[in-house]
Amino acid sequence: MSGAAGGQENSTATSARVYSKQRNFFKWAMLLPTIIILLILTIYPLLYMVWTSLHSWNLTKPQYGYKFVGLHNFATALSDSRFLGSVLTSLTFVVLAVAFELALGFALALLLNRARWYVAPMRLALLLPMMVTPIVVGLVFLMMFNGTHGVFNFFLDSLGFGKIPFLADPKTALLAVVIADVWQWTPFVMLIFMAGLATLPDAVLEAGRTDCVSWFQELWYITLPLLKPVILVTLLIRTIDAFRLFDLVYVMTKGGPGTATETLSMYIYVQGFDKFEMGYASALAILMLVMVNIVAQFFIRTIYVEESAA
Amino acid sequence: MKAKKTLKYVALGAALILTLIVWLFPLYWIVTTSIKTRLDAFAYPPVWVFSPTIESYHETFVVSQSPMTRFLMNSIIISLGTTVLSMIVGTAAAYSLARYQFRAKKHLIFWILSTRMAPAIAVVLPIFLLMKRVALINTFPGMILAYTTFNLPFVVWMMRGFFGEISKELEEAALIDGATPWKSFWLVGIPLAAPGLVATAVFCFIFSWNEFLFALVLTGIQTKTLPVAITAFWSTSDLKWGQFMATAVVMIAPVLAFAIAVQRYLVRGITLGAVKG
Repeated sequence: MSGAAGGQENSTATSARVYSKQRNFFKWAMLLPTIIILLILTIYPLLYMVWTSLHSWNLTKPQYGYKFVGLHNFATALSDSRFLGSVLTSLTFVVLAVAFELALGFALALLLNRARWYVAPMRLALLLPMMVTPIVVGLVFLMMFNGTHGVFNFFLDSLGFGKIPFLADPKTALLAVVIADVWQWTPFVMLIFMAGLATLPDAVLEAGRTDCVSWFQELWYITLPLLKPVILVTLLIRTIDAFRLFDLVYVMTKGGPGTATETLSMYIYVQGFDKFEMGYASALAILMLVMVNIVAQFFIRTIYVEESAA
Repeated sequence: MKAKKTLKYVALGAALILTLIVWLFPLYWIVTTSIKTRLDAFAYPPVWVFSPTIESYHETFVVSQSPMTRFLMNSIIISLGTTVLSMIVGTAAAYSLARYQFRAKKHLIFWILSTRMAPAIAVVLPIFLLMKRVALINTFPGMILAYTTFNLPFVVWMMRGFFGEISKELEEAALIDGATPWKSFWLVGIPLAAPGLVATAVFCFIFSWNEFLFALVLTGIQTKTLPVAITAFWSTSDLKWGQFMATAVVMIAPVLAFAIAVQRYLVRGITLGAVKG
């Protein structure tokens, strides 16, 4: 190797190093603000909440202060029937709402899975509900479900079913909240499924058709298995979201009648911001985080791993 | 055979119309109730034909004792504030993550995303306690920061995707021609990702505009946003449905307009947006 060539190589390497140093500074300068803000706004509060959950602390009783009680709050939670009841209410809500949303959303996606003039306007009309402020959804359903002058009862009454005091009856109150949630989120499920249906390989569907399978067979043996990943993702997104339901319940029932519609988020809110039992509310919130995390881990692994690997 | 085909069309048409009615009726009801007189809004059986009036809007937003206009301003200030902050900080991070290599990059991305997974109630509880300590409760900066907890990870995730989609070649050409990394980001990357930037900003605005629990816990009379104001108004007044629905229309009109504008990105935005507290 001649000296001249070596020198040239050297100078390129140096300039590359300078260059990469500049880039190194750049990439960290761009990223650090986000990391710092998220550390301050999420990690620090989380640690503080874990610490608080080990204490007895009521904001309205400052004389008792911030007293260390170990795992006492968690022990209390496990024997608190109202807490266990709220978990059950949340789970019931999740099962009902998500089942209806997936079934209806899938049916609508099949209905609109064709190239016709009405598909675009239908899509546009159906995407409106999911953007409506949840509080407004709660309010309008509250108004429509009103036991005496609600328009929903007017329809039921005209059809001969009589009036039903939806929100005043513990047996129907949760169902009313489910209906409001189904109204808001079914279109979202529909949009995801439509996107999923559009990616199905035509060749497979064609093959099914030439083999003269029935419409139902095609759906059951071809479409559904192919859509499985999409269905799974939608199921998980809706489950995680429905599990933390708060806004609709707060507006429509405040958790009532009694505790018939008190979801986990609602109960933690009551403990934290009604009774100001910060220690206990923190413990409950941590239990909720653990529950959500179990589902979320699964969620992250199934969808986002492949995407970020790309 | 022909009869069967006709029947199929009728069934399809009926299903479409029924779907439209079910999903548009609540919106129709919000709008019509807001332009009914107080008596008409309460009438049973409901009145279907009535002479529209803007008295509810007038009473809610114009009459001077009504504080709704101020709450509307609060909503705008807080939503815009957090959108701007999250977009600036988050877009930079997204660009860095999309274009450069990091050790443990995957873990970093997971962590950023997972900060968005937590249920709102579990996030707001410690934020409330900390903000109380540093006197940020019931302030605009406090609310803007609080909303940034869910908007910032959202921006990073969305913009990383958008930067990933545009080709790197133009930026690389700029770098080879001697542009600094900053210049190639600012003058090449950003303009190319402009549609994604706009869509992401719109989503941030909508999420903040619609948010309720954080606002319920962290705002007071000076910083109350519309969703909190309307529920408070609800429990203190004697069922002024017209006024509630007038407020509701003002709340959802901009959001629906935005939603239509970004409908192309809607599935992507909400898939992640739904994963928030």
